[in-house]
Amino acid sequence: MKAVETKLFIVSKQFSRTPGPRTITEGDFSGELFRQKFLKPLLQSAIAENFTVLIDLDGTAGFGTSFLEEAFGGLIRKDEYTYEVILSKFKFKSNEEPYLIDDINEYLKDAKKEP
Amino acid sequence: MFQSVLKLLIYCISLVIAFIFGKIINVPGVTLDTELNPFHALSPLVTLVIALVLSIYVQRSRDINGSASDLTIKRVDKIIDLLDDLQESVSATNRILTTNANAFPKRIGSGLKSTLSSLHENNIPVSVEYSELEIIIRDLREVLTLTPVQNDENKGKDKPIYVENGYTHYNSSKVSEVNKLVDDLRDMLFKIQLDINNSYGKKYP
Repeated sequence: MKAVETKLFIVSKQFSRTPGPRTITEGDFSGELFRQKFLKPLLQSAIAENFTVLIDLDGTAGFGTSFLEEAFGGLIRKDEYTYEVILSKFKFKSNEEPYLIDDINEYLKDAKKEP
Repeated sequence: MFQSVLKLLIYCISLVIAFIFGKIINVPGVTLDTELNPFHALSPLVTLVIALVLSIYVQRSRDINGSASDLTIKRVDKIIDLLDDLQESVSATNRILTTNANAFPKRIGSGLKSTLSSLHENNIPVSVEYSELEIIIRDLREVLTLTPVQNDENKGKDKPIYVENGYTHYNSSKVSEVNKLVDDLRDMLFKIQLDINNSYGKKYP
């Protein structure tokens, strides 16, 4: 059986060292932009080509709650992916702020509950 | 080092002067043995040298540990400065650069984490756990950076928090929330400072 390939995505290098606000209209490097430009295409490819993505959250100046909520919760709320699919394809790494992983999980759960 | 050599020199000169006086002056009722065994003469010198070496060693240890304590206290002071900056900007203008709002909690958290781990490495007991601080930092991050999911109902400037032109704006109740959390963190940092002072004071009175 072929092992599932894992691709690394380093937010600080491949997106921005200074993540910004929630939406594109609010400012640069927003969670919405991150979702549209990177997360959604990555998730689509991960499903189509059967690989997982390790998202490395270290090395940035810091993430706002809204940024992460919009980026990950938005995948469920706006792009209609399911909680299970997202968690089966995305893994997270955060040595600097390990609690971010729990937070992202909470944002996904909360977005799942929304009507 | 120069001072230690000088001290040794003064002790030697005093010894020589005492020896000469002993040879010259006769105090009634007091007899001094003017015959000096060279091994006996060496004995106080050896004692002096050992005492000097020990005092240099102890002084150096005190200097090293004193500067370790100063460095740790400076680290804590820097975190307090960060908290002051945050509180000042939010209270004075009711707004803060969004990138700073995102960055402050992480900077405070990593500063505290490294300070506490260096205290643990140096066996300095601290009455505050990082997990307690982390709860407040997470709350602070949420209060500073959680804007509502945008929809028609949320449009308008009467929101507790909104982002405009790169700044996150807060209403007075949000500012109070920020201030309360910053004060809580400051109280805990004060406890850590007391622990550092007490520990170094006990180790090196």
